[in-house]
Amino acid sequence: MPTVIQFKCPNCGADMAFDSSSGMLRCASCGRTDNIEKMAGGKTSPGGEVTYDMDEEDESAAREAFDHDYEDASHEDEPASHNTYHEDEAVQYHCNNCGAVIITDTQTTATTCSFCGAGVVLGDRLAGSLAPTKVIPFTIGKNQAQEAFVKWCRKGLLTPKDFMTADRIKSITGLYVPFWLYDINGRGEAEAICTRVRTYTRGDWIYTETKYYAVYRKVDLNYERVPCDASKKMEDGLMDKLEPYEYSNLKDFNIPYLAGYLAEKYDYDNTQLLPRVKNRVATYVDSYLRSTISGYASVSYQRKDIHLRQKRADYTLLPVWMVCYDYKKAEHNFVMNGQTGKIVGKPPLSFAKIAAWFSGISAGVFLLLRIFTFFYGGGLG
Amino acid sequence: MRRFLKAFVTQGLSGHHLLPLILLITFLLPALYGNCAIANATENTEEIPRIYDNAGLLSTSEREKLEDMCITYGEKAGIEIFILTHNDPGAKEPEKYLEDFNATLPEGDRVLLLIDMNDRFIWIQGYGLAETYIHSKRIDKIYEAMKGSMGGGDYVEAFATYIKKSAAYMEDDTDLNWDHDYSASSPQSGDAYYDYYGDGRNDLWTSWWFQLIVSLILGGVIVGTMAYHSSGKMTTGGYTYMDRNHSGLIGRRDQYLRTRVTRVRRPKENTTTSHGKGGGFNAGGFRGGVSSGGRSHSSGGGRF
Repeated sequence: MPTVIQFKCPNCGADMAFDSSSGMLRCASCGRTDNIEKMAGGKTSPGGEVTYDMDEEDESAAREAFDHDYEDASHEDEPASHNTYHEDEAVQYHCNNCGAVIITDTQTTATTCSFCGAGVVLGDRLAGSLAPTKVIPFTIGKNQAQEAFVKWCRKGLLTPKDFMTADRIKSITGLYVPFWLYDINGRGEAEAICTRVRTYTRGDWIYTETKYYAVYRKVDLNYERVPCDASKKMEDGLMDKLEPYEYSNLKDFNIPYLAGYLAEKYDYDNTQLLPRVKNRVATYVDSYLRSTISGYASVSYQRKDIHLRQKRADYTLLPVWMVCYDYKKAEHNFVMNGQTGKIVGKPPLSFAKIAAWFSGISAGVFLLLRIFTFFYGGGLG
Repeated sequence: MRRFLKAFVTQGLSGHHLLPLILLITFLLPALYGNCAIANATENTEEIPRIYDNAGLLSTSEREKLEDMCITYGEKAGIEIFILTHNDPGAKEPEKYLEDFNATLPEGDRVLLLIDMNDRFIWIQGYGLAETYIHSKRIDKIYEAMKGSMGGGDYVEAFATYIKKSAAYMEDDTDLNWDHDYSASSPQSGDAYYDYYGDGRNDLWTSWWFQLIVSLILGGVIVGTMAYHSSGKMTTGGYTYMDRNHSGLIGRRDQYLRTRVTRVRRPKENTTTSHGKGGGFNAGGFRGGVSSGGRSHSSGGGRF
């Protein structure tokens, strides 16, 4: 059953939309604002705080220094909470205002009616297993986003001059991108042979004393809300660079947050993305393990075991401004963190500027070296 | 002379004039003896051993075999071929070591090879005619030819190569070096000769082309990094998402295993300054030097 949700102003009947500056639902006609968190129909959560308790297994493992923890059958990924989805592409949505067919693709969960411009939310695509748990609402509005983008373009050291004016923004779209936020428990164990080296001089001889140590480390690390983008459309590398998001503003999902923006549903569920996020966290655990071995001149690992477990995965929508820019008949796409304003994307590079920087730096360094040689090396050889 | 004597003796024995023969012998003997004495005075270096194996690389039989080779090939080529080895970390630098060794011998046409087992260094010098024939460019070729077997521990093969090549070069009249005026002011950077004394490196760092390459690389790396970061940087890491209250080290052990001590002799100071006077290259790019006793020589070699 296709459900189209629109937010009508109770005062004047106009379409309301989410307002990034106040964080409330706002009517553009009469200026009425509604607090989304208190609105009916939205999910309520006590306190909204996520707390983490060390589970029994962790505690017993900590007591026993994890001597046999990998044999523990319960040390496995928790089952996913959302894992099935039925594609129903035949469904058509109609705008409640004008009755026009809402143009959507299969991923769209929120958009605007292309005829009357009203913000519409496709309710059935946000229900059941597809209901997001959390959302970070936009805090940067469209105008702010545009200003921030222009400012960013001017800062580009290697971008062409006519690009820096940033006057050809073709479109700027606010999009809620589906992410999974994973809580991952990572346990790492390492055994290494490490050395400490001391040199001293006695008489005519220089002595090098190398002490060898067998080093063992075990860490238990909890990572919270590691984001992983679940949209096929968005490039993973770009999305990773958009981080960090400020989680203090992480809200329980409520449909009105989407009013007036585009939103998509996930293409990949949490089990599909788990390997990717595990890879990422494995590097974190690995570098943490390394950091615990200090004070040695050399470290050579004999054994390193890293075990990762999904503790929780939350389907979350994160705000992204997408800027499409026309430059020399080619489109350049940029993405902006809708909460912090961080911009990511490949700007065009100016060959002339690259050449100028390269020759400038090289000539400068060369000159410095020659001057240094002249004064300290006893003349130009 | 010998043939004449032999003919005379056979004639004398076959004939019946014994008295004149005895008379003749008594008359000739002092003259023969005197002749021998003169020969000893001019060629007494033939008696000098050619191999000084202080590092003990050769067995007795190997040494005798090579000693013979040195003499036979040397006689054929008209030079004296010497081989010196040592394993003394406190020894003088090869250049000086060979100059000092040569100073103990009368002036002559000779080629000297030194193997410094402590620094694993091969050094060759040519004196007299050998300076002209076995000049530094040929020494480099001898060095290249014997380096492999030296590195492989086949010392007999390496020394034999040195002996044969040295002798062969004495008969090759192309591209000789008659100019024995070496000046230290034109060293060639990157040369094994200079690396040994540590001043080649200094020369590399201050050479304009090296600095130019460094500048270009640095410029390239910096601009490359700028271009790479123009599309945005990854600014999050493990620290961003770690729950510090529930993370940490839960087991550690640092167990001492053993100690190993090695020692090296402290490098002598002044090694760079003690060398160099008179050493260098001539206008033709040939390398050589002059010993403190004023003997000019060609020289060359390198590590193995």
